[in-house]
Amino acid sequence: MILTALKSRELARIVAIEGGQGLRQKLLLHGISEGSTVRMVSSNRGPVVLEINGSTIAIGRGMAKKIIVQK
Amino acid sequence: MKTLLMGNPNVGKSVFFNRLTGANIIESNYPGTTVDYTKGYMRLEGKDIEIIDVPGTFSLEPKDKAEEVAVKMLHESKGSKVMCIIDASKVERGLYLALEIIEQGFPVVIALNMWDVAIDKSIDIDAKKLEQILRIPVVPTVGISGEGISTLASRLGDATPVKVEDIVERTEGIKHKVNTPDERWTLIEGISKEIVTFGEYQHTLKDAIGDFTVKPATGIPFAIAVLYGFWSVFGSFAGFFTDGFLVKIFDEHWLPWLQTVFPGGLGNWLYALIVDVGHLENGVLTASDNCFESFGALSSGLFVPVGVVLPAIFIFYLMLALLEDIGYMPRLAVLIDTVLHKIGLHGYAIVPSILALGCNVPAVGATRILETKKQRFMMMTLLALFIPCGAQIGIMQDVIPGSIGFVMLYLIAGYFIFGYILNKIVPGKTPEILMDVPPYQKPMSRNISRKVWMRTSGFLKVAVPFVILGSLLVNVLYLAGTIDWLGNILAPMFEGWFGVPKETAGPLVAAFLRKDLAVAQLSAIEMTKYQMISAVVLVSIYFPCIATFAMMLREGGKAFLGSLAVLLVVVFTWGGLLHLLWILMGVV
Ligand SMILES: Nc1nc2c(ncn2[C@@H]2O[C@H](COP(=O)(O)OP(=O)(O)OP(=O)(O)O)[C@@H](O)[C@H]2O)c(=O)[nH]1
Ligand SMILES: [Mg+2]
Repeated sequence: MILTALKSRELARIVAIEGGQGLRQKLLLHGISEGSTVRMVSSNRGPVVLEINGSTIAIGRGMAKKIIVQK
Repeated sequence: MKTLLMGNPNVGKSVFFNRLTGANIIESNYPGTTVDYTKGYMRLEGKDIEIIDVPGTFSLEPKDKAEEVAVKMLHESKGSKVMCIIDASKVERGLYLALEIIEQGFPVVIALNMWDVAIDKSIDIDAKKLEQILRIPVVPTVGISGEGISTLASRLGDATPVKVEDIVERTEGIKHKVNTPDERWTLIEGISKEIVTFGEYQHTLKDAIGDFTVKPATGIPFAIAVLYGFWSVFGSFAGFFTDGFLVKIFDEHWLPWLQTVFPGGLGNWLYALIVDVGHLENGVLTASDNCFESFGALSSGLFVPVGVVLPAIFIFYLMLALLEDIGYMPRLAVLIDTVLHKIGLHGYAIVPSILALGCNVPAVGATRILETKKQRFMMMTLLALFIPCGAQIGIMQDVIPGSIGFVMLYLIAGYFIFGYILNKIVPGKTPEILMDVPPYQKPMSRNISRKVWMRTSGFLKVAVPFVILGSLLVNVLYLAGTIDWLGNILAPMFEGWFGVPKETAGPLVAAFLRKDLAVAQLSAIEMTKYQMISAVVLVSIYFPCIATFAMMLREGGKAFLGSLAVLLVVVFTWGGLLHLLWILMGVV
């Protein structure tokens, strides 16, 4: 499923980042990498806010839709 | 030998800089605080070493102007050492930048800063092991308490250039070369496997509050409450000191004293410039009884910045420092992101916008953290036109307490409407937001008081001389008849188009130097409440003050001409529209 489908407080593991090298690198530099576990903080409206390894990060919905996760 | 302080945004570089050099650079709990480099000196083993605080950057491929400054600084500093500050709770990305810098051949020392935060999050890092793998000094540090910083500095001497191939060799399970970003990430993964262990993360009340204040459903009402609280405290504090004490001191003691001791007396030109121009009452030149009407460089010129604006500036900067250090700004950025996208900006634009409410000059600088030219141009233009600075708000609070709310709303409406239009016509892109939301922190009184002191004294240093200069200039122009001449020529425009008295010409000249002085001078002109609102709006939007102007020229380059063009359109439409509104309401 895509990241934006995750509800608040749900946990999931990132399995793939779709999109070009540029986006991948951008996300990696913000600590978002395949294999990490994320906890969704806010996904209803506005930018998606998630927690990864204890750090919180906000990410635009367009980018978030390219992140594939597995519960 | 030079030493650069480098690292990702918001890892504590400026904290290190201040501790090492005794300087006073602004530190705040959000990424992108520092947008330009600062030099200083630290004393190490009897020698003075030059040390440079560099804007934060994620990599050596810059994504915005602040990062460009950082990368350029590094490239221009061949032969320097680098203190690489890594957030211990986010080691991987810190290592990415560190490796890039190491690959460039720089001798590096690494601080694993925010060690306390990592412990809070049950992240355990083997610093010894990291040092063995990299063969680079690695020191755990806590910037805010100073722990480890002197150890780090003392180990600068041990820093030598290291080859990445050797690091690869010492990392278990990694064999390949490091040429591409992906290969670098694989190496980092290998290193991190050996040194980092993530424990069970216990969520605390702080995290719960963090979640609550960042989710739109709960966060937006909370944000409205915070901003409303901000505004109320601002108004009552400033009013209490200005009306309660300072007005009395200036009007009942300072002005009468000046009027008695200053040689010349009413009618004398020097006396008029410095103390009191007086006004005609039934054809007789009469002395002023308050500092708004006296216009003198030492009466109005001191009263405006010290008597009226100072309390407002002080309380504004106090509350701003609290918001900054607690870590609320990034949450506000997330909440307002959707709205700001409609005008071609993203949530992060809230940072320059709020800074502008204090002073437009640093706000123009802060636009460097926006990624594209389009965003920077739009942000710079919108804030210079529509965001009144703290000095202006402070004086409005005092001279138009009943209408200030309307003026602010009218300006905010302009910000969004012209933002919307500009977004449609300015070419370029607005990327989506991608931003770290740092944990909430207890504000430290030492940092708060230092920031408030720096910004407030910075205000006084600029405002007092400029307001005095502005008063003198306007007085000279009055005495020479230039202002009346200008007012008469422009009368059809002032009266016909904007619906303000032609005497507004004087304050508009003053506004070029200081907006606070301009609003103060408006208050001495006879006009209706509605004309006053129009005139104050004109003062805000017609031209940035000279300090902002210079900063825009420096930061915007050619784009500044674009801002000027927008400015002309805005002044005539937005200023004229208000007149139309009054006509429709039947109040003119
Ligand atoms: N808990 C904790 N907070 C720290 C530590 N070091 C710095 N801080 C806080 O982290 C925030 C960021 O510090 P700055 O020095 O402004 O960060 P910077 O690296 O200069 O950031 P930019 O200029 O935005 O790149 C401030 O609120 C500091 O008080 C630390 O070791 N522990
Ligand atoms: Mg800084």
